[in-house]
Amino acid sequence: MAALCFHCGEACDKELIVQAEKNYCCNGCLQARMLIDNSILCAPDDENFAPEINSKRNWEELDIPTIAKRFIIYEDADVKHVRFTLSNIHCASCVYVLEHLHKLEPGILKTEVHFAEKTIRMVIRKEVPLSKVARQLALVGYAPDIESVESTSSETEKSRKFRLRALVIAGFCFANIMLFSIPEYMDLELKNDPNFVYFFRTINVLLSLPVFFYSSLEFYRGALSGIRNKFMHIDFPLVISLCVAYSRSLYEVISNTGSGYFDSYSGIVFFMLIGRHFQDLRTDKLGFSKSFKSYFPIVITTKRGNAFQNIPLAEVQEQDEIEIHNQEVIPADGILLNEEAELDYAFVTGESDHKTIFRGATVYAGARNCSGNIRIRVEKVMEDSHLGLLWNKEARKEENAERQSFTHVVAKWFTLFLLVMSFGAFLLLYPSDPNKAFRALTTALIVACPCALLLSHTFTTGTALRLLAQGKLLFKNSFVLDKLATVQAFYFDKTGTVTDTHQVRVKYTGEALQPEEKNAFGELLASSLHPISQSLLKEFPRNEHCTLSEFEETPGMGTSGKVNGIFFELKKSNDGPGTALWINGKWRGVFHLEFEIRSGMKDMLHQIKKGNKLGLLSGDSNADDLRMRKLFPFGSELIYQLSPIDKAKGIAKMEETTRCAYVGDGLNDTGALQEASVGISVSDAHQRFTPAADVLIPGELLQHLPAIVSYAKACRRIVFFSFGLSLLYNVIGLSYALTGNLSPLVAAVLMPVSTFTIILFTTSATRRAYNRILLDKNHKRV
Amino acid sequence: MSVIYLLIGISLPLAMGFLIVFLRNAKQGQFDDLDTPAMRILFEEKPKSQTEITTEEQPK
Repeated sequence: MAALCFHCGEACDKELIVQAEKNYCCNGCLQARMLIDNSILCAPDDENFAPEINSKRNWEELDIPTIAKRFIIYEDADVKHVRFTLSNIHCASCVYVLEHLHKLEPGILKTEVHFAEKTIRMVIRKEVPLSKVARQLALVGYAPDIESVESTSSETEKSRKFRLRALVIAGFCFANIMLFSIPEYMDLELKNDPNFVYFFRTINVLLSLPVFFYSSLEFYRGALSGIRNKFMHIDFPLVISLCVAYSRSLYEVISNTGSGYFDSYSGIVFFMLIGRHFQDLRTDKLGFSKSFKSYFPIVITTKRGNAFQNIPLAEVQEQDEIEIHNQEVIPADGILLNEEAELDYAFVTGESDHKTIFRGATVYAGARNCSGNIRIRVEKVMEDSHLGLLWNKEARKEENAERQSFTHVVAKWFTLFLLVMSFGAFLLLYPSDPNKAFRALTTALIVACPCALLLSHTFTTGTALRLLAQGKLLFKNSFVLDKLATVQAFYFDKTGTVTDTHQVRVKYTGEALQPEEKNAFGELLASSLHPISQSLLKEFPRNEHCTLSEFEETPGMGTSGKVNGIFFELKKSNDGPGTALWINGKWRGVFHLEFEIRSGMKDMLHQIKKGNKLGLLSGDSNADDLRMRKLFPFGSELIYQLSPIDKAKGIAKMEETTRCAYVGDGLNDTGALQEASVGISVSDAHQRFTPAADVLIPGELLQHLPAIVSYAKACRRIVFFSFGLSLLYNVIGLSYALTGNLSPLVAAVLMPVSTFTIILFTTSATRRAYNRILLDKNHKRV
Repeated sequence: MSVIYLLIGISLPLAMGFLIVFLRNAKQGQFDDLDTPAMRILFEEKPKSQTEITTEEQPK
């Protein structure tokens, strides 16, 4: 049981900050408490209020005009409005602290948090540099996420707003037309007065205009793009239906032969728009909008003339000499100018061991620098680099997803069937009664509009995606769910996917340490910043009564120091992998770090294996083969030493015959994630971005993958069933229409009834299936 | 029954008025963020001092 936060009362499961004997779940709560204690209840006391957290970075890159421009949304003579993404926002206290920033920093006039988007909009004085604002944000624990700014969101924002307007207008017109149609349907005396009839029809025509010319624009666009790209878009039959219904209704009113189908018509538009709007509702938009560039530093220290200066990444050119700081990711292919450097190529190759390279060697973009500042002469900029070749097919995949979706397949056949039926009826009836034949043709097209068909899909997937998102499983779009249901081969990455890079197991071979050596060793480890030392620290906890002297840490070389008179040396092992420990100049043993396998993996893999192909595609050497063989069920493919491009090629080859899902994590899996029908990205940290993933799944939920797949299958069954239901309604409608007997009243009743039953059925069935498959099984929300 | 002309003549423009109000508010972003205002209401504020600047008129 985690401690409860003193401020917000939630469990401190992510992190725990102890301050003045009170527990806080996040820095936000701590700051909020301090704000309340210092600024709000008592007099502001700025000296007291300057915690030394996160303040190492100076954010000066934000003062470069081209970089600053990305964050400024408005600027005038006095103030500027800036927007930052702060991924740390997670509770009401965060909102509280951020919206009271103006009390701490006089340059900030106002801040406004958008909780769902995790963004903050600030009004600051013109003369205040952005770096100062960022420093202030970092100081209170909300370092802005400046690497991953994307400007594409405003376009989607616009289309969402347009859809909302279209929806509201359609709803308004639909409701009113419905009301004004009632007198026609009821046997009221109004009906006998031609003036009234004329009056109501005129109003209906006027009200239908915005529906036809404004609200339906989206469908026209969809149908047109389908025609242009030569495939049957689902909007196409819809538009036929709409246009026929509208012109038929206008014709009836103008020729004074009837009141038309304005109510059914506007109802179709309204319900269709609701469906689309519903599908759009997303709880988390952050996950998929990021691009691979957010891994790289946004400014690079580059030699220009004789001096080094910070310039934006985009302006770095070939032959530039650039400086990469410790732990930064190298953004270009180049030649190393330092004597030696230690690089972590995990992003690119998936190999988890660090590599040491020497002066003149080529370094590839995507490597993380683990050895202090290094200098590189750029050979190829990012876009042309080795790594840059890994992604370029994203757009194509997107388009295919929509085309392959079975909704579109069904729609195609449905439309064909419909056209054949209506023209058949037309030709059959024409010799005996041309008028009736004409009516049969038009009403058949109206009543058999595929809207119920479409709604089946939108409402099922919409509900499913929302439920999944509540359980922290994010799907890129509804087509992904369709595809996941039909996947027949699953491939896994090893490091970070099947294994958990946060759970390190230390294996030691050699002479055992004496108790006093163990104690002293912890002190050395605690002083070292190297990740290996940090992992070892869990095994050798720090002891209070030790003194460290002669401490020395050379990046890429090792760590040494004297604790309580014992001299320790930790350095790379001379023979084979691992880290060797020397005590008082004597070799003692080697530490091997091994990532733990995530819990539940074995069961998960065995379940997946039933009926599916299963495989492991790893970038690592086969040193771990024995462990993996035990883990994966018999008959799985286990392949090692694959480069990212090999992985992508392997998946692409499999895709020719079988639909694959690829489960991976880092940048090195990007190609494979892209090639697979469904790219599933495992994320451990709070915010992990994934350029090519279709599904984001938190590491601890990976063990539920079989349940998620069977849920996708259940959703598919629901859609099929509801397709059947809507076809039933269509048959009823058609049987009226094809005999030429469909009255506006029948149409007006049938349409909403079918729509409502479809919506009710799909949403409740999807929810029930979720409870059955994903909720009950684990007695909690997965 | 001709009173119906009058009634519809009043009700329809009235309803359109509501529609327009809604559209305008949606455009101004009233429905953009539905979570944060609910949290904001919990904050206790000291009475606003003179230096507090109101920036209600945010430019679009």
